[in-house]
Amino acid sequence: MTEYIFSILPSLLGGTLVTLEIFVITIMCSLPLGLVLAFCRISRYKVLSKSVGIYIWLLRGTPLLLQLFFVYYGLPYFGITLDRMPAACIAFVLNYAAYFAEIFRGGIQSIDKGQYEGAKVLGFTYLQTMFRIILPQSARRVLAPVSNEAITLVKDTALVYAIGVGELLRATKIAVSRDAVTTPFLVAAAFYLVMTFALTKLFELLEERFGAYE
Amino acid sequence: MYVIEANNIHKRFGSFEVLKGISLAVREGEVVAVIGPSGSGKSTLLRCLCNLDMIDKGSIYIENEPMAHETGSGSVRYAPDKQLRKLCRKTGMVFQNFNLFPHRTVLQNITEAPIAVAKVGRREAEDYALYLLEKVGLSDKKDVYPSRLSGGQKQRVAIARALAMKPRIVLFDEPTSALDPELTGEVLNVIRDLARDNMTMIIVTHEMGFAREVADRVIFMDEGEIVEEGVPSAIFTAPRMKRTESFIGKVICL
Repeated sequence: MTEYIFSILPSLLGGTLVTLEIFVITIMCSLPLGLVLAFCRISRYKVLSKSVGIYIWLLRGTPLLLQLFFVYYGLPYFGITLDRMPAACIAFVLNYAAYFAEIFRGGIQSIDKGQYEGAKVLGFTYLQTMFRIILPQSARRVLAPVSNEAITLVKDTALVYAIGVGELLRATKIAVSRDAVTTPFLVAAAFYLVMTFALTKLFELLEERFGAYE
Repeated sequence: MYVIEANNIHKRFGSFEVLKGISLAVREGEVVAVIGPSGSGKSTLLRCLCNLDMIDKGSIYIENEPMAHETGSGSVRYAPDKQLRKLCRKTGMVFQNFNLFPHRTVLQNITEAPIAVAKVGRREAEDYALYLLEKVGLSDKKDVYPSRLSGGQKQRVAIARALAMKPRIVLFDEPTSALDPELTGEVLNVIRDLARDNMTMIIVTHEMGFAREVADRVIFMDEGEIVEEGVPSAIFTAPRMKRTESFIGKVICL
């Protein structure tokens, strides 16, 4: 048994690396993109705020798997052909940015208007107010929902199996079919659990750090 | 030269006219107390003077420079953004609810604007902040977060924060209204000290005894108008207008 597990570890670890790669790229790109979208959403320029509203509605209102298929299989009809991995990452970034945008918008709007007024009478510009006063306070409030999304993302990466990216679940499925045993599923589950556990701990640390002033 | 001068300012929220033509000029070193029933427009007046609310008619000058002035067609034109921020830095504002930055320590609350806005060096900003903290009696609290302070301490930090920008005039919007009665004294003492140092101030307050003691001039507002103004002794003991008399009568016997 142990021997068998060791024999499939290299391919499962290889798959895990791909999973992590998608995870890291998606987080690194969708967080800043989400912040920009949140700013657009609360902008007083109606066209901008409305268009981002529609974007968020589309991306949150349709299945991620469908978006993945659209980017990989659909875009070639419009003359854009992407490799599996870039297609997967683009779909994930666009989708997660929509969720993060709404989380950030909520966080920003939850800050008391007295904070804006306090900053304004001291002469802060809008950007200074945002980056020095509002966002640091919002950060604490959005951590819990962001951590939720991050954990969901770890598991959502399994969807890219559907367009043939060799991530953890695909590596697992290959082992299962080849060896006609179900052990690889359990090993994969353990891998996912380790990843989500590490994330949970990381976010607990962040919450402590960002909440030091309370 | 007046530190701040407002001419015939009007402000409406929807169909409700909060300010119906207020004119007010404050000389350097003068302490003006604004009193009146709630809803009379006192706070809105202060908020217009520091550009938190925009006026619909009239003009506001800070040290003779126009913050907002009326154009020929009767609409109000505000100074360009940058100029506006420069002018607003000359007015400090102290809020009823303090509006301290909860994620910054007491010291950082005070140095944040001098460093980020006035571009003062960190050392210099901190030295001045420590001096101000000593003035308001909170030197020992410099490294704590606002959540650890009492209301009176928060308000004293807020006053120090406003002073850190070296304003030409400080506006107080009911600085003790959110405080427990036993904590108002420490805040009023700080304001009293400022008056002694000849700081120019407009104080919206319900503390009649304090207004009488510290103000050079008292303005009584009701329903968006200045009903009466004068030296404290005149307003409090010999008001000329019926409305003033009835208001004073009500609050003094309380």
